[in-house]
Amino acid sequence: MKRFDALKKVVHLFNETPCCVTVGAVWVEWDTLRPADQSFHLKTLGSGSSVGLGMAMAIPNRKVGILDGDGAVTMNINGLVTTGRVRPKNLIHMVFDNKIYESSGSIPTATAYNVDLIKVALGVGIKSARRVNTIESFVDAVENAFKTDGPHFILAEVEPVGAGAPATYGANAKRVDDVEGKYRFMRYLETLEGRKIYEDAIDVKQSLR
Amino acid sequence: MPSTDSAKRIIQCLKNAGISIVASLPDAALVALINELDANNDITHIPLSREEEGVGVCTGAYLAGRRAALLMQSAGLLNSCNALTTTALQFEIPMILLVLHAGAIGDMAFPKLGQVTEPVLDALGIPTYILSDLDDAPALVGGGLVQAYNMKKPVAILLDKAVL
Repeated sequence: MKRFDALKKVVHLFNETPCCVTVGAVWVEWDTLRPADQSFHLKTLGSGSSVGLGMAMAIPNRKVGILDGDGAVTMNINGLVTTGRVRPKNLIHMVFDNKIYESSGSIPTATAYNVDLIKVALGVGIKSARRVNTIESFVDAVENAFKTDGPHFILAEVEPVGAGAPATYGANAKRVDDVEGKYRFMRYLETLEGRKIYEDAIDVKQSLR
Repeated sequence: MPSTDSAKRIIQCLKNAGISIVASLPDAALVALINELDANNDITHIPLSREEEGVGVCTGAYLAGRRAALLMQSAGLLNSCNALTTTALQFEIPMILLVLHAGAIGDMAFPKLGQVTEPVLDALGIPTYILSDLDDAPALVGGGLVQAYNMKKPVAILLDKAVL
């Protein structure tokens, strides 16, 4: 299964779902399919599970999505450990496993050898952990994640993008500065939540008791 | 021994500053603080398994409109340096780092940590204040948070064992 094809089939489910997207080509694919402002684009490899967890705890009544990779997850297994301990019901953690660090030179990751991330997820206490390797089963897993309490861990086994990257890459994904991207994401969340999200120092100072 | 009274006072400072999410990893000197966090209904406590996660957790909380703090020992601060740099500083994320100042004067356990903690924070450009008198806690926590939001970066408060 190609990740881009799989994402195309589920993007409509995420219309009102803020996402954290890991560093790499998945960024561009996701931003090609929906407005970039609806995602927070991570810079620290592996931080997706942690940023997504903090966000999920902060807005417990809304689903939060994480688009992650095998190299990122194995870099921060701790994020899974904490997710399994805290168990935010609204978290949907999708890991696209291509078994290589594709965006940094295609060296194999640990999942190319003996690591089974489903066993890891189950072992740390994430009860909903599912391996999928067809688009149909991926769509089914994501639909289920929206319908039921999580946290949900979906391990999607995908082909490397390789030289077959869609020609449309980047066409709709306008690049923005990291800090501007952060503000755009927060303003998107304000619209979604219908309340003030962004606070400046004056807001904080005036609220001190 | 860590005192429950000190812990209650510090937690009250966090509440008064509107901090509603605290991620933590224990140190023996932080036990009373962490127990007090767990007992407190106004603050969501997220127990971590490695401190660098906490930078991500506080970032996620901030992005969704919550004020957040990361409680840890100074070894954990060193564990967190990449995320502090490539997430918190890169995206200009305010948060409070409450750091047990291991190896500071009076603490013989981790002398090397004591020597590098402040220089590392200085190299990261993270404003750092030392809490050595509990009476200063309201000013440092509240003022530190305002400064974090004003400078749009983490602010560290080093906790001397004496205040715990």
